[in-house]
Amino acid sequence: MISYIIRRLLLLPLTLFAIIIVNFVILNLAPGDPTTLANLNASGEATRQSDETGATGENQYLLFREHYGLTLPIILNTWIFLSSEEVSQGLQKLAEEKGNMSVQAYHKLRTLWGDRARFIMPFLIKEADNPAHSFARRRLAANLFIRGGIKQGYVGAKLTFEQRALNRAISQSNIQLSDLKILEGDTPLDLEHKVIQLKAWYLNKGGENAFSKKGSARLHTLLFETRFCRYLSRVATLDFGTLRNDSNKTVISEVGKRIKYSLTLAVVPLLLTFAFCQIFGMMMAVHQNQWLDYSLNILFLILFAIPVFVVAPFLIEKFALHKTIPFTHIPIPYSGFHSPEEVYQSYTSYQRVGDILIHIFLPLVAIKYGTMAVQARLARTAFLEVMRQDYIRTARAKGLNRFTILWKHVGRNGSITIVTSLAASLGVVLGGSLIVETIFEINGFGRFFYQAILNRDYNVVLFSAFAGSFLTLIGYLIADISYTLLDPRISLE
Amino acid sequence: MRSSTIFKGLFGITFLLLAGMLYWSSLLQESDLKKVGQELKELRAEMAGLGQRISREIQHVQFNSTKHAKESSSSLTEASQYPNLLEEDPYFKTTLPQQLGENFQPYGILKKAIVGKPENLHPFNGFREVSQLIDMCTGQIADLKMGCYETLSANLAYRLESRPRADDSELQEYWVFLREDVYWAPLNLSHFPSTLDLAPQFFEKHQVTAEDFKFFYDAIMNPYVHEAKAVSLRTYYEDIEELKVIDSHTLVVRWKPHLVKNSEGKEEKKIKYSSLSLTGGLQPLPRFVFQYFADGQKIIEDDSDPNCYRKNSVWAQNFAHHWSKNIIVSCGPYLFDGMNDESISFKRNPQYFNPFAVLVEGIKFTFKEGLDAVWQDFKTGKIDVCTLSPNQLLELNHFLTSKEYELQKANKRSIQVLDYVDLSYFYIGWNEAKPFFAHEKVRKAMTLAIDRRRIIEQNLNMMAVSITGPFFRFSPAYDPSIHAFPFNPEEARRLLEEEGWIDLDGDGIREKILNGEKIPFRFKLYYFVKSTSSKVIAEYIAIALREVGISCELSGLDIADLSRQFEDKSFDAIFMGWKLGTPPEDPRQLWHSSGSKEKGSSNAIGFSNPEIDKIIDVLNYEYDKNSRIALYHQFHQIIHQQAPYTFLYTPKIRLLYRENVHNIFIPRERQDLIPGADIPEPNLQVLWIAK
Repeated sequence: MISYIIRRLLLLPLTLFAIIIVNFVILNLAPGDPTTLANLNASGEATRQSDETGATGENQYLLFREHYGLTLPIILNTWIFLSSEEVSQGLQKLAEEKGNMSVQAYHKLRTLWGDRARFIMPFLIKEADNPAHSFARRRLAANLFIRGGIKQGYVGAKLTFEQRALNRAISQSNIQLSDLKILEGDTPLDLEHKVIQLKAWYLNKGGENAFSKKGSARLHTLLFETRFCRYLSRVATLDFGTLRNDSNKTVISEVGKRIKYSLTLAVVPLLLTFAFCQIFGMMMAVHQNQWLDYSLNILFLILFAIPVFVVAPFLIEKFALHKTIPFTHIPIPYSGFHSPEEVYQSYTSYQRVGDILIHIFLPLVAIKYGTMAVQARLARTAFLEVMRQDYIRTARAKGLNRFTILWKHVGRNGSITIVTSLAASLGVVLGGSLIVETIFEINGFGRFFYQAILNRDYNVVLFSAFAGSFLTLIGYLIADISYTLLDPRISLE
Repeated sequence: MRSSTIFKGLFGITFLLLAGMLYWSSLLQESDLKKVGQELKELRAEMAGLGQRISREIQHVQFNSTKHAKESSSSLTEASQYPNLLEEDPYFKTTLPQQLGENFQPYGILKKAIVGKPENLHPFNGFREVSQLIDMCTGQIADLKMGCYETLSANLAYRLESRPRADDSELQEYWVFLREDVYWAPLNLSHFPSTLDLAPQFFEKHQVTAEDFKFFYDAIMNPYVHEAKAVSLRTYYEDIEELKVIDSHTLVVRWKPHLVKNSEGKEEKKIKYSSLSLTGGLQPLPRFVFQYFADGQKIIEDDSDPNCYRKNSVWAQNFAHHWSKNIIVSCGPYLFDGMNDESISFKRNPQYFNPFAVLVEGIKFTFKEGLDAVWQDFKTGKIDVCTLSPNQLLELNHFLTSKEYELQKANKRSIQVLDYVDLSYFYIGWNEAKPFFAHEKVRKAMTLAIDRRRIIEQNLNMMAVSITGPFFRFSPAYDPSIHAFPFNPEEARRLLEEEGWIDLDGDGIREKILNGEKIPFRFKLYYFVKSTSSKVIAEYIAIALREVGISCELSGLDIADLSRQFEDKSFDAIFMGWKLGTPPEDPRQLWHSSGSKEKGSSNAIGFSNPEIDKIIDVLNYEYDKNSRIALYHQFHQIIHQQAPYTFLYTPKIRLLYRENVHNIFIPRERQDLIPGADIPEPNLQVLWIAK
């Protein structure tokens, strides 16, 4: 079995890799920009500030996109294969057909060529230097060349000597380039003058040899200068980055803060469901087609049909608001994971456990009633099937008592089905339960990831996808191992 | 076999016993520790109470001493050959002190709410509320006088002079003389994550100097700083030719001259009209924080080049991800006092030079998901001030007759109501790039087909004022003599027919043949889905347009998607609002043709009109007040005729506050307190709480 586990563990990174690629592509294809200038006014209406203007044109969100590597192609960098003709045509379209395109289409194209600029700099400088082209086209080519030449430095205090030196060089070169930008009011003479300086900069940095990729450098760019590779190289060192709105907080530390909430809300109900659905499933199976079976069946059908956003407020309204715990004067809590921090801190450890238990009782019910209903019905079917097996009949014929048959033979064999379906839900731990967490004001993963999606916090979203898939894979491995423990006939060798 | 079972059993029992005893002893120890901890906490609380009492006493002494110091200060009337463009605000100098009396002491924490949680507190965060919070903690060279538009009163500067330039005496430059008694408060370690090590230099107070103002300007002008507010300010300040630091408290702001034709047709050099108010709007940015890493090293090791921060891209990158972007470094009337997931707090700055700038001990803003949550909190008394949307008015009336409120009233917590006109307006923008709305007559027909009075009366519970143009209803720029287009569906139908929109196939929807293709008048109207009143208004508009043979499909979007439609200019029609700036208005962002084809520009509808462009350009350099107003009125008239928007209404806001909160008033209506006041919105900064 050990060799099986090792094999599975070795396969894990490969599977994860495939999952990450899919997630990554989907996330990168999702539309939307990271920030918005619109706000709500005092009566809750959407307004924009009339004396405020955002960045317009291709500069919008540029820094954000550069920082997250969103200016690179997603999986393969095929921009290095662009030919001189393609570049010419692209520039001509941009420079001369702006009036015929919709603002959205023009902007998209402009952004695309802006992102490509880094990889086509030799063509761009030739375009800018070609007196046969129109002023608009040359201006565009020169500005795209500048865009391609501007680089990002290393951010943060903890830099090596080389990184610092590189930062200095980058900022110097960037200053030089941004001074050469061809502005709205520049004359053709200004353009000539600036292009000469741009050429000097280009030659100074190594000219065509340095900027056009050949041989292995070409392959390297094709495979490695992509969003995916950038992300993966960070993930490989387990660096999941920081939150978008606070670079002092890492994704891992923020997830760590919330893990106790979500783990409790996922693992405890998982175990409880397992126990309860065994009991109910068994009851239903044993009393098949009798009133107990029917009534439980109907009950579970109803439970399964009621959505959680109906049940959660109902629980609060009917069982918690203005009510106390039976036989005590303690009000039933309906928000938070435990009492307010200052009260909670003053508790001893067992008081804390009690405090958490009374706080999570209602959320647990809200999270698990639906799954339990499904699982109990599943368990019933599984047990019924096992009960019709020959070995059960044999056991009965042997005169074994009813309890031993149900416990040892039916229960154990029937639970394999339930384990499979439960194990798959381990990955859901990270997804959390958004609705329950929101209604009961628990600061768990669900809300955290939901907010991250709204904020376009790519690091957090990718981490959630990554961790979710990892946990699902681990869940299946655990399920496989449990099979061998539950059923000696199954061998993993 | 048997003995081993007995042995196992015995062993198990002993083990359990031992474990039990271990747990018991640890419990005893834990409860002892808790007791010690509790006592320590009580001791600390007692000490804190004592400290608070002492600091209150000190504040009281300071409040009185700064009051007297201020009275004796005469810096504003210092002798100089050039007049001081800043005046002292008589409201803070005499009116307010008289109102407060000799024995006044700031008291209490004012509790308010903010809808939404700020992403961060970066100095150039684009979220309007964050800008306001930062303004509370910093301030600018000059302020508006209380209640009056287009005025300048002394704030961080005590003098502002317009002097002739040394190189060209025809041109003027602004000399700014800063106060010397303004300091950046030391940072507070508890506002940072415990993992961050901060250098000791951040825990000292630093004087606010002219270099901090230059740093602010440099940061705005750095092309690599992409924060929303910086980008927005850049368009206003890019006309500064030079900002020169003379000494630590003096700076010179020189604006670019432009050649402009005067009334006699001669060219003359002029700087922009807005240059004075923009110079007054400059703020300081703390160099001692934003030029450094948390460990105290400079971000740019060699920053000897005076324009370093205006150009350096690596600094800009670090600035965007700065370690202090979740605190506010304060030198203003309020000091930042921490932010968590639920709220953000500020305390009064006892060292601030104007003791009347803040009349409470502190202020706490709770972050709320929506206006409903704010209203719930206001009802229970968790917050002191709140505003209502028109559809909540019924709930208010309901609450005012409830038992709960009776009890609050008996406890001297009754609710006070103040209605005021918001500095904003709502409109339907018709995208002129779409075939439907390219022509003026069609847009006018749309306006004629919509009964705007009905919207105000029936959908908004009369909580709005009707408007006809793009300026604030109570600004001198607004021409009240322009009459709104009447509600006239007949005329609308006629105009549509004139433009060739005729129902050809009898399906009730008009069509027009465009480039050989029959196009039905079927368009999409986007609106903000989370607002109930927007939704009912949009629904009414769809019905009203159906009456004149136009099919208006509704699409409700959340704010991010609505914004995206707006910025992409991909919508057909959009229902949104503009929050307006204070006069003098600069209509360039919204109406100049230069933005009509740019993604992200405020001219989302692609409006372009040479006359309008010309007025905008002339307004830039027109200094005469009457000519300016004439130009604004002309502008208003053209926009009214062109009907690029259907101007729907300017909302009235119902402000609620508790009885113990004082000094909430509308300046415009209190000429006895502020003669000449023209601002119709209350100023919520100078209120106090009764003990």
